[in-house]
Amino acid sequence: MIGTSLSPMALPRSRTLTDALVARSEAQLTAAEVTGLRDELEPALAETAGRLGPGVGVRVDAYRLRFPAVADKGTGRFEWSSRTARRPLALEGLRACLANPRLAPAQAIADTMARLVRTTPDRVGSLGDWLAGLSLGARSVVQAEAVTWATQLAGAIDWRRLDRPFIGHDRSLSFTTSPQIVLRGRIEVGALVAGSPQRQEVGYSATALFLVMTGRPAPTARDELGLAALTVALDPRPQLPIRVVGWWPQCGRALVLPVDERVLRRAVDAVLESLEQATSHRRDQAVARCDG
Amino acid sequence: MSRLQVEDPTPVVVTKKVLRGERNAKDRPVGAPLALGALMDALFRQFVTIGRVEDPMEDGLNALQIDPGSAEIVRYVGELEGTARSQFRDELEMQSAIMIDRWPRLSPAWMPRTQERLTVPLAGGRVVLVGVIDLVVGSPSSGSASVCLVELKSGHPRAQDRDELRFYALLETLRSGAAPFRLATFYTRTGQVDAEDVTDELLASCVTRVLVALGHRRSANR
Repeated sequence: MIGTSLSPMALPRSRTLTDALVARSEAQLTAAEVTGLRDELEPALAETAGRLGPGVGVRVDAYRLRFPAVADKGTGRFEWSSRTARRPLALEGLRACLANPRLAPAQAIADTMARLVRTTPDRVGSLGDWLAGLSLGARSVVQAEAVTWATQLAGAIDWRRLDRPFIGHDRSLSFTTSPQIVLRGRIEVGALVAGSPQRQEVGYSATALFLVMTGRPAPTARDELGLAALTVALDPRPQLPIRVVGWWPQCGRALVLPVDERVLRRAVDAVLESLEQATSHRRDQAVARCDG
Repeated sequence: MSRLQVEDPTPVVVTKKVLRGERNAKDRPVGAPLALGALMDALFRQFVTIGRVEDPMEDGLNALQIDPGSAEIVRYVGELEGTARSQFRDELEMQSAIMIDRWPRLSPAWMPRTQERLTVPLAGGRVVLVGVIDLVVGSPSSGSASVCLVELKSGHPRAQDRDELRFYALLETLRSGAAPFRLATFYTRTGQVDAEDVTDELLASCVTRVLVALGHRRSANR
């Protein structure tokens, strides 16, 4: 069993989660270990990319790890919806709330949406463009979804205890030898962990990651959290993930995953396995098209 | 510290419908009461969020259209004709007017959030309690009860309305570690609010109801 789950009955919740997020920790991952993992992962991805065929891209994210069978269904084209819009709106609103503590999420998101509609509707396909085209009823749903999501996150953490947190700390990663494969880590909050021995290592800063998860914990939960840590570890920016806290607001559960080489290696295995499934699925699709 | 409960591939899902003895599947055909309830839920959400409703029918349908899960309701309303359509519209406009007249504007500082989904896995994920609360007001608990749960009803008051909210109170308690302090049902036909405080006895009785429902489920599956 890797990782520790926090008791849902420990109150206040924000203190428990913040304690878990910013706790001091012994160094568990070194830059050299990350380099070693990169050296192993890069050729493996290049080999997989060669089997994918030209012009075929795959994004490996938490959704793919959790639902490998359905990740390739649908058009594959990104579309705005109340679901896809709520997170960017909520994160923008949360940034505003942290800059102005007297601002509540509902007001911050209303301001954010008004600004987006006012300033970016000319950019076709942008969130502002999409929002500007919505009716009052539809826009109210988008706003309500974002407010609910942002309010949950705003109340989950004791923000005063974080030193200049990064809100929306997502990472997308691909290698030049396999540009069509993108590893995507969706990270809601990144926080520097003060006093960690790692912070002194060759200019790297130790970062704790906070992820807002959907639904309830799945068997792939640790791989989903590990993938986020992997994308931060392999990112060119000099940050070493020290732990990941996954939080499921729908059920109040939280999992703390200290990041070490074993966790990242397990995430690499999960990535390669999901890519294997994706390539075989696409091969089956191609065969079906030929047969048809 | 404890083991993290993970998702069971085929859990027993307990919803308010299951507690009422209905099946979880969408076995209730769309009719005027269901469509009216869905539209009023959407209008309530809009009113709480942006503070106004312009055209109840248009706003409500536009809100439902953005959610693929409401397609059947949108189609049902779209196919209403003649007297049935005008009666439906009249009822919707009347209830919307009552809602706007009677429901207060909530300060953003009260942290109002709408359609909050609760999914509480129990017994290692083999049982999942699920609910969606129309409105939650109040900051997350810092050690004591701090939130109020509100449900909106477009129909006549029923005895089971309180049971539904009590079930949600149980879910919120399990999720957040603290019970809500109050439950309220807002009836948009009359503007009446039915409220009750949450007590340990209330939560304990709800636990019993969940266990009874699970027992019935087990018997039915034998």
